[in-house]
Amino acid sequence: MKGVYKSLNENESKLIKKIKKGDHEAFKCLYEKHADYALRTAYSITKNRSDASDIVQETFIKIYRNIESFDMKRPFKPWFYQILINESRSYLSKRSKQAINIESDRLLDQLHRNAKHELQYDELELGLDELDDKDRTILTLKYLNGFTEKEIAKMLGANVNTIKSRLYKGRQRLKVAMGGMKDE
Amino acid sequence: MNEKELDKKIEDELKKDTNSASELKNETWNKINTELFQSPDSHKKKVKKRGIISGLTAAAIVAIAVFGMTDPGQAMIQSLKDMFVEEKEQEIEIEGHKEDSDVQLEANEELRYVIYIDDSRYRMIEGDSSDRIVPEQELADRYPEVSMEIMRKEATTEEMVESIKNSLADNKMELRQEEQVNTPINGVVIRGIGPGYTNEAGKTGQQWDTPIEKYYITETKNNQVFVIKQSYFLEAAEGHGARFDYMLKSFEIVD
Repeated sequence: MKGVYKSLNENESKLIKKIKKGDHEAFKCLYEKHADYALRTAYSITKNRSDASDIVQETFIKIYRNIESFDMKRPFKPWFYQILINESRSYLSKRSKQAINIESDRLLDQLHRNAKHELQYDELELGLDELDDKDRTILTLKYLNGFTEKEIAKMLGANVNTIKSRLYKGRQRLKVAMGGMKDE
Repeated sequence: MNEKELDKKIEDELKKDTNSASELKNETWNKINTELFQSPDSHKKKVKKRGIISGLTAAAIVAIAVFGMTDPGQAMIQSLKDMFVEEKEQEIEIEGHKEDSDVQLEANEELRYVIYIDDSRYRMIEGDSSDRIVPEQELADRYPEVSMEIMRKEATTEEMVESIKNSLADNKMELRQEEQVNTPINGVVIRGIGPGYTNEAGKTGQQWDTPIEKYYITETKNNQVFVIKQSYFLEAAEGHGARFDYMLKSFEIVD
């Protein structure tokens, strides 16, 4: 999954052409290709499994309904992730207005994760949890999805220097969370 | 720990931390499949109430608009708001200081334009024939008006220039600028400043509260013009005046 799509690779281009013609199987293949990291990304941003699933569902539905408008000369992955990030932000903004539910959902997710990880939390995991939504989104796009700072800036409608500075600060905070010194 | 080791550790941690979400793949597909291919009206491309927010270019937006108009049976009717990033971060420089501001998309379907506004400081008031962006917190009475009004007019640039200059003269405002510009938008700018007076301290001339009106006129593809009228006062030129121009940079006509 790492690396940048400079243009649509041949298989993906074929898939999208088929989807444009209404081929459901091709759409399923596209889903298979991107769903794993899409779910991880949405979860990393929202920290909520149920939201992550809903966000990915909405994103793929939008992709399918808007595939006609997709410009085949442009790379698919940034387009896809821009929609996913926008969906995630909408969910975060909705949830910030429902603070009580967030806490109960988060608690359930925490319990779920604890069971999975057998309480093996480490400092880095806690550090990631403590980052604000924006910094976590940027770190996720860089480290989980392999986007460059320039691509992230374009995707988030931000200045590339802002992204670089947020990445730097995010990494520094994680370093400190792991017991290291800043600029160590 | 060196930088490479830290990068690797962050990457590994993010993967480990998100493993549980990866398990939702089948469940999520089932929901998509039901929504798209198995619900009673799944053969139609539905218009969703909530916006589709994507980063399409203006060219793509036009393509969609055309598509929507030429094939109404199947076409998606996309709202303008759906086509742009809903919120973004902008770096601006106010009175020599750089600051990051979060700007929010505002779209007017009828007038066919979009603009990003700094909603921590301003709000949009929609009118019948124009929209006004005003300070979020109402200013005290002692301050002259502060606003940015966006209007679409059935006129040429020349006609509007004439009309604005007449209006400035009627209000006894002095014309200080009239020129073609390409920033914050392409078009003609006209700036007028209110008359001077003698204040309580005996100083004669323009004062801190002397009103300023700045107009930008930009043409659409349909032989119409957009007129953006900025109203503020002398002391607020580098504050509100500069912020209006930054917001105006994001102004985009979508015909």
